[in-house]
Amino acid sequence: MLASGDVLRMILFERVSKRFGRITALEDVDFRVRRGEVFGLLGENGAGKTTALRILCGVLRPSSGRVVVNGVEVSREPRRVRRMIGYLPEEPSMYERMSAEGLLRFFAGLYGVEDADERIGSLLDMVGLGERAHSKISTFSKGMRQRLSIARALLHEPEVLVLDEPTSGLDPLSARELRRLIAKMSERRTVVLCTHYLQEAEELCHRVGILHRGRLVACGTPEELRRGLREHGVEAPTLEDVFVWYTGDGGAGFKGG
Amino acid sequence: MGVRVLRVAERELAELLGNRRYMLAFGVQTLLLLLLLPAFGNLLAEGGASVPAPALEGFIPVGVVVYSQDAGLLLGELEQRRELRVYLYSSPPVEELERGRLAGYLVVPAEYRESGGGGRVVLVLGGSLKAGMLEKAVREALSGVRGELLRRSGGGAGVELVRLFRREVVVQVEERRYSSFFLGYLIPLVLFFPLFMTGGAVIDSTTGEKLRGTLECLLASPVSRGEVVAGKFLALWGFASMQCALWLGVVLALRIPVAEPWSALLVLLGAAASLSSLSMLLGFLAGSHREANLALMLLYIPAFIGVLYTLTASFFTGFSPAYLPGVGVARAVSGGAQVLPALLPQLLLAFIALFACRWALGREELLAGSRPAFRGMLEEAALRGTPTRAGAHLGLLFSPAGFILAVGVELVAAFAALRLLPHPLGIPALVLASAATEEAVKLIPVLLLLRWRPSGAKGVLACAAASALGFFAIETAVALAGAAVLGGAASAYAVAYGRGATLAMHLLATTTAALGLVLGGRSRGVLLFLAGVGVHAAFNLAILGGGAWV
Repeated sequence: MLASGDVLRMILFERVSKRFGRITALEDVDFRVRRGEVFGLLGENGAGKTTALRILCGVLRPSSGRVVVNGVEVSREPRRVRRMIGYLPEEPSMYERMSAEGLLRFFAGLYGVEDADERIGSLLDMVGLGERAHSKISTFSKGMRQRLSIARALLHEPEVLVLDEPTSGLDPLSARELRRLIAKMSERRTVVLCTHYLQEAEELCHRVGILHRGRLVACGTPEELRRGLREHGVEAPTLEDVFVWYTGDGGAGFKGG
Repeated sequence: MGVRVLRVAERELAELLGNRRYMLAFGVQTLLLLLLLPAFGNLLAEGGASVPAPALEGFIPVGVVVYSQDAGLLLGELEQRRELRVYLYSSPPVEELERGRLAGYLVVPAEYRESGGGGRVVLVLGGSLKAGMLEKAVREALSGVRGELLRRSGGGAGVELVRLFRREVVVQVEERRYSSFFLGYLIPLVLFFPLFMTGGAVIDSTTGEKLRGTLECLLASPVSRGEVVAGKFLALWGFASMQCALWLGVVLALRIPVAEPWSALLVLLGAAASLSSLSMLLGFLAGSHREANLALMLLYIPAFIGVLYTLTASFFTGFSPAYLPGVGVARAVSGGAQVLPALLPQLLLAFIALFACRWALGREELLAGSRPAFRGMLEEAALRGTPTRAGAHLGLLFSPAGFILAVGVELVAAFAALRLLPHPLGIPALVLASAATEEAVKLIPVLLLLRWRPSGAKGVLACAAASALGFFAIETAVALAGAAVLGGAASAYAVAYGRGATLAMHLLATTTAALGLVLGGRSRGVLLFLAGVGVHAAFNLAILGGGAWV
């Protein structure tokens, strides 16, 4: 049974741990994401961000703990959860020999999208690839692939969008264009964003969580995190300062709210 | 579910057919086949530079119906021919001939009398490629009889051969007689070639997709791992099957006689299913393209040698276990194929391999692009689910490695016991060492379970029982395969008979040994382990003593 708070809560991570053999990728990670919120997961390389997102999408199973999306527990009904989520992995990996339209048609078939033709056309127009619909993906630049990935993630009109390093490796113009696209998409859905770029997180996210060596060491709005440090006598004017404090030696053993 | 499987299969197939490199290579190879086969056919035609027909003992089964009271010389000549296997019948064995069990039969009518100077005999030939060889052998035998009769009578005697064909004569088309080597060996071998050309496609579809990251996208969509495996398999199997069908079509289009093309195709589809699924498994487990290439080479080379060996053995020695695909295709080409025995084991193997693929795809380390570490897999199995389920899972998972380890140790022990110990002591020492080794190995997963996770009696006993069961299953499979290859179906049946007692022994011995770990205490543990070893050793001694009950 869901508690009344669950109506507003879209995503719940409850004491989630993930071990790969002897390696612990996540340990007792707890956070909640509200409906309609853009939540940023920050962390250095190997902090466990991608693992957390993969668990959220049902691609990986947690070793312990549970993840609930819109009232549905991922490990119990992974397929139902995957229907609610649009996932953009870190690398915009695609079937190179397919056309943009062919790729979207394939995934539309897997998700059982109705009116696929219309939906594909409008999505390709939205991400600016309408004119390249029939071009092979192997001819696309990384920015175009990333935009096509976003179109793929939005294909089945998911309630939650999970974006893993969406602007990684893009030139500044493409990155800005993509951020604009993400902001537009976040108007009507919950977004979990994982990024290295703290400015991007500050610009897009309502709240952020900082992962450090598999543990969530801080969680809150950027302002709350800054305030929290000030209360400890640490001056941190930017989110980057907060991040460095928590992921450097200064933050060892400290747990945010 | 079916729709998603078909979607995955359709995409995979489109990807394969859209791959210019594969298609170009396949097109060139097919063209070469078109050009080379007729040339080889001419070269190996009977009367040309043909490979000598095999003349090994009992290779040509022939029925003989003797109505004459005076045909001892003829029968003696036939019996003397080493390549013939002579079966005597009281009436014409038409059904045996039609089923392909005989290459033909010879009827010696009542009028035939050797004391009266001979007479006419009738040779009825079947449709298999051995018919030509049979006719040649019979002619030579009759020539011997004729010579002897001439010598006895001083002239005027003779034996006349009347030859009939009961079935369509597959060895005679357009007046060209292909050699038995061409039809019985080369054509079946050629038909297998397309199966060994799909390695690149398999690697691209498994290892490639994993390393490119597209597999992650696929698994994040509402497609189950089973559907991904099924879809990919359908595409790869379909691709390999299409190639086989095309090559078979080319062979038929060249008017090369294949007695049972549909049977040949079915057996090839079975072989394609097992090879594709095994290749997929290796592809999913490989951590890099290099590893995948190496793994597939290690599969394809022995598989190809296996086909070569079975074709060689079946052609030159008459070795023909029907369940080997090479034999199945060779028989389909020459007539008398048994499709189901050749098809079902391949489909069973494919099913097991696909199940393993589904399991491999569930290994989450795979998504990180690396091969799952065995220790990591064991540890994860030990930590997942209830202790009982985890124990059972761990026991089964460990058993292949346990079996290999035990066999290795037992080989060393056998060498040491038989070489170093005096004669009467060697065998009992070996029996005891084998039992102790196997019981110790089967306890390893139990010790691992206890190390990684606190588990009660149920978990420990489940782990021990699963370990014993897994060990028994692998041991049985190896014993059956060995017996079947070396001694045929009858030997395999003899091995299978009584395996129930062996299963009971494994379960009893291992759970007894594991009970020591449940009850605690060093002396109790040692005592129960020795009890388990004792049960195992007593059983082995009973087998050595010739106990039919095992």
